[in-house]
Amino acid sequence: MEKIKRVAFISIKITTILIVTMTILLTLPGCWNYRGLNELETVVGVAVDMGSEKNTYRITFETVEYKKAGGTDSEFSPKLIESEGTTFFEAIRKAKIMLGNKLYFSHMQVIILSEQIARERLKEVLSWYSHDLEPRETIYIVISREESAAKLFEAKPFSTDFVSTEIFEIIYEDPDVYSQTINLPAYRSYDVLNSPGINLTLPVFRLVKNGNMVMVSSDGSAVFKEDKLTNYITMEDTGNLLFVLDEVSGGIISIDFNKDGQNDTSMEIKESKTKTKVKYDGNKVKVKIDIKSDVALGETPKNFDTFNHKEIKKLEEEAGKHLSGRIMETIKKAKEMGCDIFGFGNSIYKNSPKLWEKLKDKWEMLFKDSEVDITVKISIKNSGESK
Amino acid sequence: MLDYPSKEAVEKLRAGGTVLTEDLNQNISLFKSMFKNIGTFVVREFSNKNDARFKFCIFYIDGMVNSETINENIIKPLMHSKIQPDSQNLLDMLANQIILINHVQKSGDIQQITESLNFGDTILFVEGEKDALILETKSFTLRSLSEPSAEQILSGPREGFNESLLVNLSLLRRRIKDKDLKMEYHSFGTRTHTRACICYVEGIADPNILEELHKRLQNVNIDGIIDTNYLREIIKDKIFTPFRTVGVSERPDVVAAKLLEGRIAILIEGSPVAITLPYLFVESFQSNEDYYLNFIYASFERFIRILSFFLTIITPGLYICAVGYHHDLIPFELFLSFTAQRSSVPLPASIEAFLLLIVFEIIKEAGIRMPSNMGQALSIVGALVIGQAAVEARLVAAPVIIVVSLTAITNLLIPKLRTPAIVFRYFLLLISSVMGYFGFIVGLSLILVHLLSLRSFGIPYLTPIDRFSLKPQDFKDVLFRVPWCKMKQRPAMAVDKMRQKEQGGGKN
Repeated sequence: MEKIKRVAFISIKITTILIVTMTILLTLPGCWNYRGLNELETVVGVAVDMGSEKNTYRITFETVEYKKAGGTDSEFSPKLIESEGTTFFEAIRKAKIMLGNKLYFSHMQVIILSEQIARERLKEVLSWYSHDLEPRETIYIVISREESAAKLFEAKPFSTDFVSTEIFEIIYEDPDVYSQTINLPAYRSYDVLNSPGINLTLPVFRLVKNGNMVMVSSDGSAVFKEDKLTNYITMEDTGNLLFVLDEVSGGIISIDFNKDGQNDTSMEIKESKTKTKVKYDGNKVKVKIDIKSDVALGETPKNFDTFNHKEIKKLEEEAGKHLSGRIMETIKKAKEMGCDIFGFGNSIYKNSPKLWEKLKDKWEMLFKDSEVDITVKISIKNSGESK
Repeated sequence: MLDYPSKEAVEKLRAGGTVLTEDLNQNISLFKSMFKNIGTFVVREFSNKNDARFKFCIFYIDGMVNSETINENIIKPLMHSKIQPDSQNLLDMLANQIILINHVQKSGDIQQITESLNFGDTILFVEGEKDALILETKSFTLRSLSEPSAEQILSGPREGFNESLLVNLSLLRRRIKDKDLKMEYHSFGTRTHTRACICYVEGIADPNILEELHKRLQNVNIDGIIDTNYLREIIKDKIFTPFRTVGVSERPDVVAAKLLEGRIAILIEGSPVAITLPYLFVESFQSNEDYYLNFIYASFERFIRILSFFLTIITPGLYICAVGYHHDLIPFELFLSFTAQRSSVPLPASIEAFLLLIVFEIIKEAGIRMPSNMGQALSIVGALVIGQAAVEARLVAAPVIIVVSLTAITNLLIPKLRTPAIVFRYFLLLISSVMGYFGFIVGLSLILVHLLSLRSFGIPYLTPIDRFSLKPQDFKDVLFRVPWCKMKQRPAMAVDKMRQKEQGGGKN
């Protein structure tokens, strides 16, 4: 009979505990308040340029215009708002004097920086980003190759409604498809910028003409020294860089197998793994890069027998040689720039911070003199033939 | 309503020295005075044709007796037989040799006689005898055993209880032909004298729970019990909860299965709804059809029901959190379309959702209450005017219509959780409107605390979900309905020594 008791389980003690807990819980969380969807001016993307006056920013916001609002079907199109201010945040808030609603950044997709901003003010912009609550961590920071950042907004988005979402999607889906655009979410850009031994690279975008339509296109990447943009590298170099950074999970390798000056073979990367070992033997930095890629054949040269193991083996070796040569080129370019975009120094810093303390001052020289050894192992897993 | 002589009136008569006498006329006038102003009370006097000294009188209440039985089996033999009084009592002789009735009882107790009259028995008085014979002649028309409309199933037994207690008990006994199926009679209601029957399988049902039930039934003090819900609310562990802690069913197959699980059932005269207890939270998601269909399908359906319960409670609240507080929760494309929809709507999202939910409740209630031939009008007004036209007129946004529809449809899947669904839906809507997602989580936690505090006849309401048990037998009938051959034990609340599956025992 112990089990059966007709007792209401809420005693005074439990009620007290509940009230106390609720009071504490209610006061602990941060700020949050009700904001109806119609009170927001949604920002999809931001372009940052130098202002008309000295030391000011001109910020262009790509926001949403709702045609046929309400009802059962709606359409959206971009509309642009410009605002200037001496600081980034001031410019943002200043936009409110022209707007009925406050700008809302949680659904922002990209921040586009003009070349000049990237050369002079990158840290200030990232500083706003890291302080403000609304923007997501996963947005992208890109550099405009046009005369201004806002110029990119003149493009016509092809698959989405906004230039910003278009840029976001281009970057977001790149690793699986083409692997030639830096895919670095803003929080990681911020990390990289503040990590020792690695130079920041950010994706570059420009306008291209496609028929009579102006579109945005990824175009290599921008290389930073500290927080200053110094150089640009091409798309191909970016692709090679991504191989070293182990950020490739797709893309195409095209080679000239028959040596007739015309690329005749293409392979699709299915999976790729890169291991980088950085060693310092007292006066020289030695880097060993190990790339293992599984690929499927996309195109083969004529008379190529996909069932012949010798031929396949030869193709694998040829592709490996091609790839390591490509990557070597890029490393050479980086050495010329003196920018360790591959993060070799960072690798030392992570493995032996004490050693890094000694090396960090002469790292640029060490990087330029470093010996890099690349082994690429490509395995063709799939003939790709389906018909 | 007929005002039959109440207990008090009979007591008064008895206290005033009114007793049955050997004088037939005096007895007749006594009963006539007791049943004054009762049109259906019939007094029939007659005598034996062979010997006019034998005078009889029968009382009965018209409509509650079988007239043919009275004519053929009582009046006819009494009139035509040659009655030869011998050494034994006249009444005994009549009962033993003349009257053709299966159940005859001799009684001199006025109260017993009046009660029997009210149940539909016929009372026979004989000149010169102090006592009377109570003759069983009960008969009234019954509803047929149709399938209950609230608990319809696709396959399985289609019988349902009706309003007759005896028929209902026979339905149970036909399913469990076991001498251990006990049926205890009780009577409730100081005026209705409603007969109730407690059914349980001895040896499976927990005697502690039975004892507790008896204790609680002793406290029932009410003048009338028309439906089992009267009893249900009186014997519940905790009254102020929207959750059902005593189960109901109109199906004999369900009640029989619950009896075999070690539960106790109460049936009452005049209501097709049986009570089963103890009732646990998981039973809300179990349907009798689960046990008649393929176990994979049944398990999937059960999952859908559990999902529906959560959806119907949280959807409006979650929607308010998303559009009112945490816009970054919504995927970008959806966000744009929500914003486009909401940008021209005058009301805040929470008030909009609240109003639309109320409108839905109005339509639902109208659907139940209105005469069935007016249904056409309701569907036109409900679907077109409130759904489509309100969106086109920009009174409400389309997403909230979706939210309310989802809430409404999922609500229909869980008829046993209707009340908690309504209460907690509005509760979560309110707390989310004020405190956003944080409030939503607080609200959900409070609901969980409430659930954990509930007991059904001493059994924790969330059994077996609330325990960290790894025994598969504890969970065989919670999220999944395992195949019958794997149901080795009765549910945990059956008495322990009987938990092992018995050969031929039904639902274990």
